[in-house]
Amino acid sequence: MALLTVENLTKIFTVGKDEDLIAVNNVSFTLERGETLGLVGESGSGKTTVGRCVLRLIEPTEGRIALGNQEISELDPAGLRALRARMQLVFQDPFGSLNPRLTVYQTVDEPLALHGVGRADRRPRVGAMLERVGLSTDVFNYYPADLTASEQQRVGIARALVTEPEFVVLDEPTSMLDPSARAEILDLLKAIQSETETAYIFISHDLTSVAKISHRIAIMYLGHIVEHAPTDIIMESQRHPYSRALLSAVLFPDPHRRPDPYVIEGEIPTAINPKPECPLYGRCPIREDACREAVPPLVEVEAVHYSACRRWDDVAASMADARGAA
Amino acid sequence: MVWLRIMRTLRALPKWQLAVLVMFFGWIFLTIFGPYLAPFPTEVAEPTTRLLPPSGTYPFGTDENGIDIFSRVLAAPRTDVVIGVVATALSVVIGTPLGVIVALYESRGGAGSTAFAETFMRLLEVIQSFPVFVFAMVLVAVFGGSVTNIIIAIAFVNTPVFVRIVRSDVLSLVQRPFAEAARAVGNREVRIGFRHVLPNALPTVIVQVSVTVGFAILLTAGLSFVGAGVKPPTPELGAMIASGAKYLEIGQWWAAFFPGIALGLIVFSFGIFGEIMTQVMEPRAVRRETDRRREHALETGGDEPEVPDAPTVTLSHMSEPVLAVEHLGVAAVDSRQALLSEIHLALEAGHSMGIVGESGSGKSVLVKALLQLLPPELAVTSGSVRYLDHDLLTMNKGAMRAMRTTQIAAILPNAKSQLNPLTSVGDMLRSALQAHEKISAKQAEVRSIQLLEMVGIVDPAQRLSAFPHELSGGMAQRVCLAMALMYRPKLLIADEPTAGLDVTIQRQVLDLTRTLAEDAGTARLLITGDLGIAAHYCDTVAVMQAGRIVEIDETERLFDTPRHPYTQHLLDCVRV
Repeated sequence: MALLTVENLTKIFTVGKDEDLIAVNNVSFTLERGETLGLVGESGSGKTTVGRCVLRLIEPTEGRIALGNQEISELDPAGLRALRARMQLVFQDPFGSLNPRLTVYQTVDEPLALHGVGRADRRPRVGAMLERVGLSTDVFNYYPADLTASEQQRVGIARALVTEPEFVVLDEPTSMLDPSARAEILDLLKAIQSETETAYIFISHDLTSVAKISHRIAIMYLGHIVEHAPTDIIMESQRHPYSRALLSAVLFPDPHRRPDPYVIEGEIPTAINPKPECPLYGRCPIREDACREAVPPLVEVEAVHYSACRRWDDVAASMADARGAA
Repeated sequence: MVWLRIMRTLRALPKWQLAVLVMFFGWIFLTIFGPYLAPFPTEVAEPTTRLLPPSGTYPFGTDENGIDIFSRVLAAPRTDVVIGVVATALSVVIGTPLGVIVALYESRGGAGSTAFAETFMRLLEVIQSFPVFVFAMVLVAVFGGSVTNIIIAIAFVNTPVFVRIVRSDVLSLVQRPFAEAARAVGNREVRIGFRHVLPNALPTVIVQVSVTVGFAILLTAGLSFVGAGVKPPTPELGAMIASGAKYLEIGQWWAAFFPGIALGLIVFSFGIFGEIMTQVMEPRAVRRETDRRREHALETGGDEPEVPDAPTVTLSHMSEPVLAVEHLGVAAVDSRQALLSEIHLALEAGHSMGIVGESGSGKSVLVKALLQLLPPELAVTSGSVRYLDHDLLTMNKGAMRAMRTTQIAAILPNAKSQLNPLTSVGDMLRSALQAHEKISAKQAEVRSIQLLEMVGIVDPAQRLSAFPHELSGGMAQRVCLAMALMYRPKLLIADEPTAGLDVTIQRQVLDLTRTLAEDAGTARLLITGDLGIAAHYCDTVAVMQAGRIVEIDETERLFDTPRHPYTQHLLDCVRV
């Protein structure tokens, strides 16, 4: 049985009279112990909302979320608070996510105290956790403002991991960091995962970071997962025009790796009262009338490779042509 | 740490504020010890010495009861300040938790919570809509003028002030990520409010306290002045002014004058004390510590081994450069600490050069130095910056400004924040065009439409009436590009032009910039932290670290065979 099961998750924000913003639209996925799922999308894709809904920091409108046998979606507030020791969150903004008036030690100590660990037992665990994320004892009494961004993010990670959660939502944890700090944090997260078997949902717009850490990648567009496959497969061959455009826009730090000239024009449309059609319809270069009839479901088009494009085989063919030409 | 901060703030204060601060503590001293220092009894009438003018014995004269006014002025702060302070403390103790609770209800959402919070806030508005003084007077009149009642009345009228400021502070603080983090680790809402959010709202509260204390003292004196407050013979400034006031007309000015001055000075010094507290509480003061550490890191070059000079490379077939920077150095004015040293660059027409580096490497300082936009605390210490035949460092401000708009264009990060939010896109372009050319409004509009078309904005005629907040980030960056490239400049300096944009939009903007610049023969200097951008959009790349260029080379060669360990390190960090 999967560690985490998310079925038909939907989140609708009412933004005005008769105006519903569907931030997350019927999203399903599972997560195994020790596994990382990368959730990729541009702003407005709903990836952050998915992470918040899974942790029930935002109440989902519909859908089922289960951690092992435990139905997260049905817990009352007290049960939910108790479960928070088993599921955690790391934030995008390293400084903003730390209380400026708590020291490093106090910040990491609090989750243990809240989950009923006695004072005497906490001290060694907090110390060990802080050392594990690479913070030396002399910064334990520092306030967040006195740390570098990389150190602040390490505190955030220590706070999330100190209760030994089974899964952690990593919400763009490296997007505000410099390249070297980014690499350090990714390495740290990977090393911790191999020791503890913690599962991660890694949310990011940065495909290069996602590819480094994820076992599987799900690409989101306008609240939908449009493509979902193991990392190696999806980075090599996409089966959805949006994924292909997204990957071709990634600028790899290698001047010889010419970007695929495949471009999707325009910008992501609004998610308010979307029509029941393919979310990419307005921008899609290979759209056809049938794409307007319904939201295409995510189906397994090749082994372990899911796509929500009716014309996935045309995407495959044109990618092969482009490769042949190059 | 706290003491360090206080000391640093004190040293930075202007002299007069320091004087007021001393006076403030003088009043506090008198509040405690004043009655013991009085040379004469302060409450015993002495008919033989009524209304004597100021003299050696009675420096402030005597009042209608023959009591020494100086003695009474020394003793009076105890009454006024104590009432003011206690009343304020009471309003803080009641108002602060109420503010937190109302804010928590409000942020929770849901019809019931919102209705509760709304009702409560309207109720406070009703209390606040009464003239405070009259309201306090009525309260005292109804319940009697004992000191306790005066305190309660003053506390009552001031409580809403604290509820409101705490509520609004908490409402904005609970939106901050650290409050969500507190929820994510399993805190209850109430604990988030009081343990995590409230301490961060306290600076505002403390500042408000000092303002309110001054006001409460004034209110105490005012109530006593109209006879609704502290009763004679207790030494109290308001009552003293009242009893002295009736002798003003017949020339016996001292009985009201000295207590009046004392009251004014007390309120004034409390107010200024509040000002000073604001400065002590400024987050900027806290950040200093980090800056020092950063500066230190910069000085020592971080953890990286110090490597002497950039490997000199000859860039093939370099023609006459558009921009030539030699030996450029920039340092802080006061500490003389170097932020840039020995910068050499040469950029030829139509080419593009990337400047890459991590935060703190000095790349933004370089941009500012090139554009003569250095903040006053930084100054160029050496070297030259030549643009064609002009020496940019010695050029006067006016000429530089003209140069910046027509020949050297700049694009800065976060386009949206640089567009005036109150001006439509059309007005912005039109006024920029008309500032440089004598053209009619109609012509300017036609040109504006062409410009928007050029940067790939759909429906340009309609977009003219759009305001910056109606534009997406990508669109705003396109508008900035239109403004920058309006006059086909010879040089474009783009500092993180796509920071904050999504990858697909980033690609659109970068492609567009390249196409337009190549058409116009514009040389580009592209400052970025993203090595991917440098790899694909630049002919040459310079790597900066700790204020120096550690390596500069043609793009392919730099990525294929980096020669500096730092370049190698950066590449290792980003390679998949």
